Amino acid sequence: MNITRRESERLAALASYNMLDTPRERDFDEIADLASRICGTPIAVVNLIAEARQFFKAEVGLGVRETPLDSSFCAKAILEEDFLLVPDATKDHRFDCNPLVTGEPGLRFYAGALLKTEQGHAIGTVCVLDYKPHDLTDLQQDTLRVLARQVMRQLELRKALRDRDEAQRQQAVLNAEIAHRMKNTLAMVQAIATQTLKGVTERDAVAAFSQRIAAMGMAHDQLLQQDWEAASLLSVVRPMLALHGDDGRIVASGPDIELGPKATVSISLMLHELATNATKHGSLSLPTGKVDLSWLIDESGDEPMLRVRWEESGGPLVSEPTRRSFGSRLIKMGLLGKGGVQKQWLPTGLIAEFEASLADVQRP
Amino acid sequence: MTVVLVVEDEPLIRMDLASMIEDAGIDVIEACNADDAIAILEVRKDITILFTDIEMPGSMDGLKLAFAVRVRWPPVSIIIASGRIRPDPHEMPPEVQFLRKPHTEVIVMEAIKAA
Repeated sequence: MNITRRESERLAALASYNMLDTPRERDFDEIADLASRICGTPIAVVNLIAEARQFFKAEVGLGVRETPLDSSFCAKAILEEDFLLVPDATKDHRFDCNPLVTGEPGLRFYAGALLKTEQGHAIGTVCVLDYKPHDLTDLQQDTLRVLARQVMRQLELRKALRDRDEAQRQQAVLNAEIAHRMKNTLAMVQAIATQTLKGVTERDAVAAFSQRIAAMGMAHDQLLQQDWEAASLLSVVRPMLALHGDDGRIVASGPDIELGPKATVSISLMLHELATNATKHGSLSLPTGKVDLSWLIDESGDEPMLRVRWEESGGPLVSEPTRRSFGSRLIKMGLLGKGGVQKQWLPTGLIAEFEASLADVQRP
Repeated sequence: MTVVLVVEDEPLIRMDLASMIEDAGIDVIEACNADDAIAILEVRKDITILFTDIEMPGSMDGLKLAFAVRVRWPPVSIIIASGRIRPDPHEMPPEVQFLRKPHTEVIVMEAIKAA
């Protein structure tokens, strides 16, 4: 069959709706049913005209879901007018090639409103048919027009939803790719540092740097597992415990809370500093020392607040350091880099309390 | 006396900048977004340099902040930093220094001395 370019564009438009050969759906069945009842005909169809066949997305009164079209001329005839009313089809030569008219069951009446895309492609009709000649009132004709527009709305909306789902899927793939590259970048920084700092004699500083990068890497790992959207507070605490307090000297307790990406990284770095300090100068520097890490959500105020408490005990006598170090600055930044930290150096050990609004902590 | 207002939403970067500038003996005030920066400028009359990132959450990005500061506090010198490409001249106020991130201490301190 010789297909013009316009016709192949039309077929492509029809195909883009993914409707051909799909099962019945209530949204379209209702429209056919309403058309038949309002126009008073035994048959109503939501009709899609494909290449050399018509497919009935919905139909009442016919019992089939597809018939061939003997020639494309026939299809074009149906699709030529926005609204086609044929009171007696046996007297209209445009229907000479439609088996439904020429053969069994011998249809006589046809009225159809065009399904037209925004680009002007006619992909089918909402139509009603009868075995005897008929006419339609203005109201009945308008009804068919409105129903046809509604069918197009349905098709457009479904297509838009499909497109959006596909876009989201692609976005997720992209996000995962970016997250992976970030992880590599951090590893590269680690490698550059190790190599560059090989000659440095102050190995403590190099080690401190390395461990902080590692803490950041662990935070990123947690985030990666949930597509960079969130990490659970417990999953942030656990690696810190494993690294610094695997002999059970750091006791952690509190409800599991979801953290946004910023909070995940901030809190990971902060806990790492606290634990490192405790090990070097604080309670964990003595075998008798321990740390109680606890947190809760305080709902008593205007908005829920996350409160975290780091309490050292059983260690050596400590006092506030006179020099401001990077580590103490990191701790001072708090749960989100915005402060909200109170530190007390009791004779028994350091007590640090942190607070931030739950909303801020969970912000994506 | 030089007083620098650093506006940067990423805490570690903000802290690093502040630390660089403090180590050079210059006073620093920190803000994490444009709204906070404006609030600080409304209260403190001694700020001489604005050092701001472009991409920030809140009602204004760094470029809008720069324009607002130029209009309301003309004597304040402005340094704009970004990880993205340099804005077109018409997107920034005139006589503004632009730095690419990541910052090196040398370039940051040169910009502050020149401001």
